[in-house]
Amino acid sequence: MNLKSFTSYSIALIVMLISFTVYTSINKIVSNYEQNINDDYSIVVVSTIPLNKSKINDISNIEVKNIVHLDKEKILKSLNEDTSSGTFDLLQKKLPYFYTISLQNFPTSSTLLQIKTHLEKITSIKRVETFSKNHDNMYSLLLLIKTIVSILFVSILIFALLLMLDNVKIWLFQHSNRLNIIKLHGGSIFYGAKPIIKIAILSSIFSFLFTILTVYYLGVNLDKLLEPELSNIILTNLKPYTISEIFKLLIISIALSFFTVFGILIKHRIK
Amino acid sequence: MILANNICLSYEDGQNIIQNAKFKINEKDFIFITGSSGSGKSTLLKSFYSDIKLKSGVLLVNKYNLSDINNKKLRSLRKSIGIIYQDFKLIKEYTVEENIMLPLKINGYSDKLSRTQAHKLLRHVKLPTKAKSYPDELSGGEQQRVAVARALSHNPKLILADEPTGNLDDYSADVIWNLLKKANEQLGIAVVVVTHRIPENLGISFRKFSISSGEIYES
Repeated sequence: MNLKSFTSYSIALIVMLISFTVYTSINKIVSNYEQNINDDYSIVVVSTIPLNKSKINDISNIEVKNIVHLDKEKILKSLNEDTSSGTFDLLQKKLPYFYTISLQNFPTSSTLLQIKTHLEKITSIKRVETFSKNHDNMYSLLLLIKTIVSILFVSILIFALLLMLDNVKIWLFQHSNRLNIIKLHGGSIFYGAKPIIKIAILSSIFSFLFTILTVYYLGVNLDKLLEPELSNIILTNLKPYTISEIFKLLIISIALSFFTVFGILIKHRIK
Repeated sequence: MILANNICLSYEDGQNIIQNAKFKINEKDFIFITGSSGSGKSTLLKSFYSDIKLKSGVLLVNKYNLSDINNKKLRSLRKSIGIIYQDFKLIKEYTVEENIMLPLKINGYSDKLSRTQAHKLLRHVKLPTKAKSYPDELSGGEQQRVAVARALSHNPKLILADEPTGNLDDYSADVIWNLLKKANEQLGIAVVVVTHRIPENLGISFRKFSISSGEIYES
């Protein structure tokens, strides 16, 4: 086993693990960001009868996070000075109920349209105002970032996997003489490939540690590497990785190594 | 031990090498298979451990039917025999000791037991000081002695040897013949040897199979 072959296998694995970390980090940032902007937006509903959260949920199948009744008195107060007392009394009687509705999840544009249609079908609701204009711009941007990162991650995953599979083939070729002798003595291909499996596990642990250290270094030096605005967004929205997430990365690293080694060995055995 | 009934062997292009061969090899037999170059003697030997598949017929080796054998049974068959090759087929990355331990390890024996057996065999083949050497550090004759030790390590009832002295000088060849003779006489192991030259004064009774024009004759 030469160092070059080991390094090229590990580099492919490291690139894959780093891209996976970037992919999950971006997803976390975007989800958190979505949550933040979701809290800032709300749907304004004007109704002739009082509404509550469960009622809205039941009739329109919307996951409402919060429904706030806008106080009539406050609205009327602003009109009080310009209207006569008769008109004011009439207004007080006739003025409908105003609500702002916050949603559980940040909706897509089509979902938002569906919500509006659902609400408008309710006879007691006279008017619905959504945040579609602002929403479209922001949501499209987030969706674009998510899609680009996903495409990049899948592309890197495919190329790195192909590279790793090629490396395992090289290892198998390097060990072909030994494997053949072991086969002639009744040993299974898995028995003969023990050194290859050991190297793959070693490489997966090395790649995992390298990835963790790289991500840690990038995290610590984020303000030096990125524009302050961008690093602020990341630092604000990205929660630190938990032990279980780090362990998951190790499992992924070992699983990918096993997949490439056993995939090639099984193919070789079938041949 | 080995029972062949109308076996046919052929090259990949379909050309027949051995046709309708019938023979029986018993326990404790010492067999020489001879014939001119390209007559198919090595091919016949390879068919005994299924390195070459039968075209037709029935071949039983150690009770394994080679005309219908799966991977698991094939591994069991190979574990039960010892094989010696003309080119030694020692693993270069392994020490002499590790090479001898290989069949034992494949058969599931412990490291300690395998090492003890390897050292016993190294004394038997007169190479007690070479345990930690690598095959490349040994002469051809010494390498073949290691190969014989490896073939004997797991106490097989059958040893197959393909031109075991083909690459050796006369002295080394004599050493190998003596080791095979002792294995047959003292341990009762059946030995099947492919060779183009049967040694004189072997001092043991043996059977001889000759291959000519794809047919096997016993003389």
